[in-house]
Amino acid sequence: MKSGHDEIKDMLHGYLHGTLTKDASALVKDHLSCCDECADEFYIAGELLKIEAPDPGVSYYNNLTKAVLDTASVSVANRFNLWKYLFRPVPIAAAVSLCLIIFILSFGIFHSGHIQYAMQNNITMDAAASDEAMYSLLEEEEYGDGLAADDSGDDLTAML
Amino acid sequence: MDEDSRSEDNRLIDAYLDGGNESAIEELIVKYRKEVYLTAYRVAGDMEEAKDITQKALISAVSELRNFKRKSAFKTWLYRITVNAALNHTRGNAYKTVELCETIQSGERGADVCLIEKERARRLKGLLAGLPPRQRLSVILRVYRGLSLAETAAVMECSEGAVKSHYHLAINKLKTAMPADMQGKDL
Repeated sequence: MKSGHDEIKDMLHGYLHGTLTKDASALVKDHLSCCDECADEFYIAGELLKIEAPDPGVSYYNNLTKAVLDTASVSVANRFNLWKYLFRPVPIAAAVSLCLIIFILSFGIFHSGHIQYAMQNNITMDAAASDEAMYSLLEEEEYGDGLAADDSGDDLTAML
Repeated sequence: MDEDSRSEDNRLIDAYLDGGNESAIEELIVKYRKEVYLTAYRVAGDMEEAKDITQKALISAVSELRNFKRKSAFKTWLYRITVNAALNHTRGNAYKTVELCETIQSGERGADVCLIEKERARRLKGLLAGLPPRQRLSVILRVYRGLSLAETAAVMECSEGAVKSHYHLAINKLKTAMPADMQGKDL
């Protein structure tokens, strides 16, 4: 069992409120008879406890419970809640959201069909594009050589 | 603090928050309303002010119950709200001193002794009111509410060492300020 000065000091409030065991109470009582510091503390705490608090009455307590519940429920209900605000049941917003969802879904379906159609056509388009590219290369070779000769001045040197 | 009481409080809180059970929160208010009032009275020193503070503190506790993280006991959390409400309420207001205007009109024996006791209590109450807020709080929570050092530290949001220091300073000040005629120890 605790028996030092500090330990007894910690037990003083238990002794004062009568919550200690019989043995612990006897220990504190013995200590108080020989320690002035603890005796002073115990005495002052005891005197403080003699100051009574006025009783507001049963009706006050009964009304208090009702008032607290009423006011607290109103304040909780009035408090801004983002989730509640976002998901509050608003018929117009719900209708608009539904239309938007239908529009997005239908656009998605239409667009996926269009892509499939385009992918099939791309094969022929690629073939046509490769023919065109071939023609342009041939043309460049014909006219390119001539231009290159003119620009480099080969023809002039040959004439000279 | 009683562990059973703590788990019972948590059960009532869950019943209110999850199930919307209003009788659970009512039970919790009934359980603690007197302690809240007494704490408010000890801080404010006036019955009417203590009534207002009690109502404010309980409304605040019920409204903020969802923010109660359960790191401490509900009782400790409620005391903290009460103490803060009381300090905010009394901030700027001088602690009301109780005027003793009774005179001995009765011829009964012991009437003068009763009056001396009342006068002693009034003076001690004045001395307690004159202490700095944190010293006063440590005395109120330790002596009147019987909280342990750890619980007092949790309510005051400081270390146990700081509570010890505030409390012993307060007791020493009270002891020094108490007139000699009041220091009649009878253990």
